[in-house]
Amino acid sequence: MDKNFFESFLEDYFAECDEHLTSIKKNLLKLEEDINNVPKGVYDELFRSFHTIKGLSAMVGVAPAENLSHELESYLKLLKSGAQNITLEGLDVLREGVRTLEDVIIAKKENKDFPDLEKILEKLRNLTQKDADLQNEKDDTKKIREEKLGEERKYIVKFFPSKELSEKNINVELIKQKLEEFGKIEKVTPKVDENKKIYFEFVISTQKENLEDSLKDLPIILTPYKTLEETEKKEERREKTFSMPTSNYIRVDIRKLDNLMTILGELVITKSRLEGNLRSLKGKLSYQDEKKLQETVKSLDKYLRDLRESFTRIRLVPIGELFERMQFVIKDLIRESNKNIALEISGYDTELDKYIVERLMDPLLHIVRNAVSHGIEPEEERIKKGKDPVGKIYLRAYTSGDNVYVEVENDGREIDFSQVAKKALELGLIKDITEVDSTEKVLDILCHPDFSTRDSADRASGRGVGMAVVKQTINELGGKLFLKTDKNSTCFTLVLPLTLAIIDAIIITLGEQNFAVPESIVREIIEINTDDVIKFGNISLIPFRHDTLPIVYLSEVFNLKIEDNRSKRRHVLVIGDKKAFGVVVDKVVTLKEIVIRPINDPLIQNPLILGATDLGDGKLILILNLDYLSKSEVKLSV
Amino acid sequence: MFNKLSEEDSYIVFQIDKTNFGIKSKWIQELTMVENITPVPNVPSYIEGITLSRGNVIPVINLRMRFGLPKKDYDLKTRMIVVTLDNRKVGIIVDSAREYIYIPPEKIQPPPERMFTISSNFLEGIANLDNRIILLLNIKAILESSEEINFTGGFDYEKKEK
Repeated sequence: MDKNFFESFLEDYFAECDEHLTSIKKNLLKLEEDINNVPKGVYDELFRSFHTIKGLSAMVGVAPAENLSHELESYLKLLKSGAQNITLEGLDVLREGVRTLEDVIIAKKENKDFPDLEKILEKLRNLTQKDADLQNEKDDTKKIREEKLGEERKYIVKFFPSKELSEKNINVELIKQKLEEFGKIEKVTPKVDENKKIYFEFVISTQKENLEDSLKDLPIILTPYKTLEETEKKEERREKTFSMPTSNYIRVDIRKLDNLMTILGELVITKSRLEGNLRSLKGKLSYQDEKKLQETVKSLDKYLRDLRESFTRIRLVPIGELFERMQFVIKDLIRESNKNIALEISGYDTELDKYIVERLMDPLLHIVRNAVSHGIEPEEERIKKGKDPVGKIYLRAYTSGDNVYVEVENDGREIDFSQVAKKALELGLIKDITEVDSTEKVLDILCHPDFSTRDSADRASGRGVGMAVVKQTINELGGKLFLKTDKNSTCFTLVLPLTLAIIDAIIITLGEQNFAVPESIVREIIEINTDDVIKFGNISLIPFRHDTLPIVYLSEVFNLKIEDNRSKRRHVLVIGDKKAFGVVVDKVVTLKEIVIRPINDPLIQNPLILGATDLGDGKLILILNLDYLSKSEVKLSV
Repeated sequence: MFNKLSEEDSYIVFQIDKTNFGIKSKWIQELTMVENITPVPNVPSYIEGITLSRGNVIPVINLRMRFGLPKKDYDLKTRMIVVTLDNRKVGIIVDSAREYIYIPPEKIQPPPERMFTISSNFLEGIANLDNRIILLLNIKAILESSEEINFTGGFDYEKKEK
């Protein structure tokens, strides 16, 4: 029990620190905008964040984080009180301090060695003249102790932290501060109650009368410090004496959502089994009974679809949270490049599946990095070209149809085809310079694993190998990458599916194998007899409606030799609208909801294969994009 | 000087016909029996198909066939080695694989210029452990190459150039 408790306690610690660090970074950005005109509240918030992280780290026992945040908090205290004004140097130290703090917490998370803190601690101490600070704290505590209002009593104060409360900045640190105003905290212990909720138990000794009144606005449970029995009885009778306005949001572990999606998948499969069972009862039930059952199954179907849609929506998060995290890093990059570059972001509200958003950061950062180091020209060059001396990098997101578009654009140099071609030739990626005749080809080359522009010591070097990994990640997410470049702008566009694809598919058999075909591309399913097929040159036709339909045998497309002791009856999937054609398979088995798993390995790149899916038994079947056949395999003209 | 052996020096050793091959264990994610491979149409014959490995769809290569050797039926000794490189995961089917050993760098020779059993581009070196020869494969090169690899079978010290 202890180990699990501590682990989940640590997880909460990491999550809380993450939130506070995000707030810190936001405030640092505000600070940077104009250090001579710091917006109201920035110092306060920064101070509080560092103070909280300090307290949390102390409780969990991460001393380096505690020490570092203590120094940061001290500096902020001076800034907040106006005793000092922030300088560029101070800002740098702050930034370094925050970065190091992040590294410390990550080190704890990954169980690695802590980074060396000596330097940054010293820098911070130099800024704050430590002694003066300690003196202030001592004064404060003395003041509190001097209030003597009666005999000393002990109380137990219980505080249950929660996301809603922490959004109001009501957290264990605040409670501790408030309690310290009234007495001495003898002990603080993190504990877990019967519902597995974590709470903090303070033992406070105070001389203040009516402590209850003083603490009545706090979301705590106060009990006199008595023997265990009496305390428990009292708790049962007491109710929580506060009401806090609740926020509309809760934090959910995404694995719980995945779990729910799996259960939903099972429900869908069970529903189709039910449909199957119903079909086999056809004729054995009265018409009315059958009708009733069908209605019920239809209802079930509708609700399952609604549920599926709701889940998909739950997983959607605004890309803004990613953009915010990126801003901090990008501004660092720009600063280090010593170029004059402005960053413009739009489309914060565009929503994407959380899983996709998580994995976009590295690829997007890489593209921005390239824009900063290679794309944007130095100021003199820009002025010579007649461009605005301030270079621009745009980060945009918007939805269109079933896709989300994320663009990284810069108004710097055009990507030089001939340079790319030369390098590609050197690396043996192409045989002749004339092969590089389009931006698609240039993009292909840029994304080749052997093509690397990593010759300078970029700060982020060592993380991934160039555009190849960017392309790989985008592929894995089921997306595509496009490039447009001219002398005034270079734009990389990532097109991503709104969600990890779950589609309705028609399951067919061909010989011994099953395949899945997306239902959306199949217009109709008809049955034919192979004797009815008319051969006309090298085209095969069947009568269809008042016309003929060219058909193609899937077995031929796949060069599959199948024994011909099969029945002559086949199913044909009619694909396409104006230029319709039929694809002959053996049989259509069923309609099923499937999850598309992309196949991204270069060994298997077949435009007919959209991906694979697992029908639930661990065996994969291929998903076919039969639409593609209209482009090549089918000879539709006489 | 005796150098301490590190993880870099550990290898999984497997067999195709009577030849021993080794791949650095740092490239290897797991070693399993061969199960549930879905064939993929219109691919080179040495690609057996795709399979699910730890939730990922990965391609599966039959290494015998990649080396130009005739296909052999699977038996209880056949194994699939899942290799991971640079974010790619690929399954490789071999006749048998049972050993995880350390090979000290002193025991490894660079592949001679003219290798008559397999092109030296695909080898990282040749290890000689008590007269047992293990061909250490450059698995990255093998997976990234689309040229034919012709393994003329059986490495025998005595063999003269054909």
